[in-house]
Amino acid sequence: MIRFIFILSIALAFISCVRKGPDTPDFYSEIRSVDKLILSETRVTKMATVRDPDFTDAETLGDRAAAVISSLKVGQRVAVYSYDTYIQSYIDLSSLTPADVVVNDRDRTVTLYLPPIRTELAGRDGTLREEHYRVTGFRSDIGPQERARLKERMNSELLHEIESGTIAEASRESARAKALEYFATLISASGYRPIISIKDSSSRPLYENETGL
Amino acid sequence: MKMKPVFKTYLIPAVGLVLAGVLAYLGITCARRNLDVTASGAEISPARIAEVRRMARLCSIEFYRELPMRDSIGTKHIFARRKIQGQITFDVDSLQLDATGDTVRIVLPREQVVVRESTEPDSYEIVDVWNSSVFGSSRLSNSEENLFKRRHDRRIMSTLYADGTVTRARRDAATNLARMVSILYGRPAMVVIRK
Repeated sequence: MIRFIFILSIALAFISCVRKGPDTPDFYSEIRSVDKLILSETRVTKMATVRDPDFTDAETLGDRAAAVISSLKVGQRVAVYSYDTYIQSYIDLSSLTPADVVVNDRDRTVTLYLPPIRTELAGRDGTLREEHYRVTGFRSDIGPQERARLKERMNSELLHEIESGTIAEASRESARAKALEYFATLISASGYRPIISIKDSSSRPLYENETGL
Repeated sequence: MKMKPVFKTYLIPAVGLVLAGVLAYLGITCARRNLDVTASGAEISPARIAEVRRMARLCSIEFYRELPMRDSIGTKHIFARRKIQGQITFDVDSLQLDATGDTVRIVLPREQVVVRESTEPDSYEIVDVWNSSVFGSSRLSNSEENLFKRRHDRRIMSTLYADGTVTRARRDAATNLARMVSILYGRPAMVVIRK
C-alpha cells in the first residue's frame, strides 16, 4: 500500500512538470522609415455586453432554443467589456518640396502648399476594460478564449463602421485646423505673414485659409 | 373513458419518443450555438468617439510584428499569438527653435514609443492556457490577462531600445525635421539630438 502511494506520488509529480521550451522568435517583423506629421488622433470606444439571450428578443428558432436552455440554467452571466481604437490624421512630409513654399519679400508673405491630409487606423489597446462582471450559480466563467472572440467580433464591426460612416471625418477636420495653426505659427516666427493651403488628394492646391498672426 | 390497454402500451412510448426528439433537437441546436457564445449572447454597441486630440508629432519609424506571447503568474501559464503595430514619434508642437543665425538650430524632443495591438483580423489568438499544478485552476481573469499584455508590450518596447530601432528613429527624425524647417525657412537647419 505504501509502495503504491509512493509510486502514485512520483507519477503525479512528473505529470505536473511542464517542459519549458526555448524562446520562440517573431513570426514576422517589419520596420519602416516614414516622414509623417501626425496632427490629430481620435480615440474610438467600442463596448459589448455578454448576456444570456432573452426569449422576447429571439428572432430565429435557434435563438429561441438558446433562450429556453439559458432559462433552465442555474445562475446568470452578465459582463460588459470595452476597449479603444485609434485613428490618426497626418500629412506626409516627404512630399513637401521647396516648390511648395513661395516667398514674397515685398509683401512679407510666405505661401505654403501643404500635402493632403491622410487618415489611417493606428492600432487598438491590447487590454480589455472589464466594466462589469457577474457570474452566479453554476454558470461557467467568461474565459480568455471567449473574450478574444468577442474582441475579434467587436473589431470587425468597428472596421465596417469606420469604412461606411463619418468617424474618420472628425479626425480629418481636427487635423486640418491643427495644420493651419501649426505652420502659421512656424512661419510667423520668421517675421513673415503666412498664407497656407492644403492640397486635396489629387495634389491640386485648394485655397483653405489665409492667416495672419 | 378508459383507454384500451393495447393503445396505452404504445401511446406512452410514442409520446416519450417525440419529446426526446424535440429535446435532442433543442440540445443539438443550442450546443452548436454555444460553441460560439458571442453569436447568441453578446450585444455590441455602436462605436463612440471618446476623444479627438490635436497634436503635432513627427513620426519617423513605424513597426509591425507578429509574435508569440508566453507568460505566467504563479502556476498559471498562457501562450498566445499577437499582431502588434506601433510608432516612434517626437512631439514637435512646442519646438525649441533658434532662427536668429544663418542656420536654424532646433533641439529634437524626447521620443515617445507607442505599442498597440493591430486592427487586422486575428490580432490576438489564444493558443493555450494551463495550470502547471495538478489540482490548480486554469481560469484566467481579465485583469491577469491584461497584466500579461502590458508586460508583453513593455518587453517589445525594451527590444526596440536594445536593437537600435529607437536610435535609428532619432536620427531619421532629426534628418526629416531639419529638411522640413529648411524648406520653410529657406535656410539650412541643424537638429541637436539630446542624449
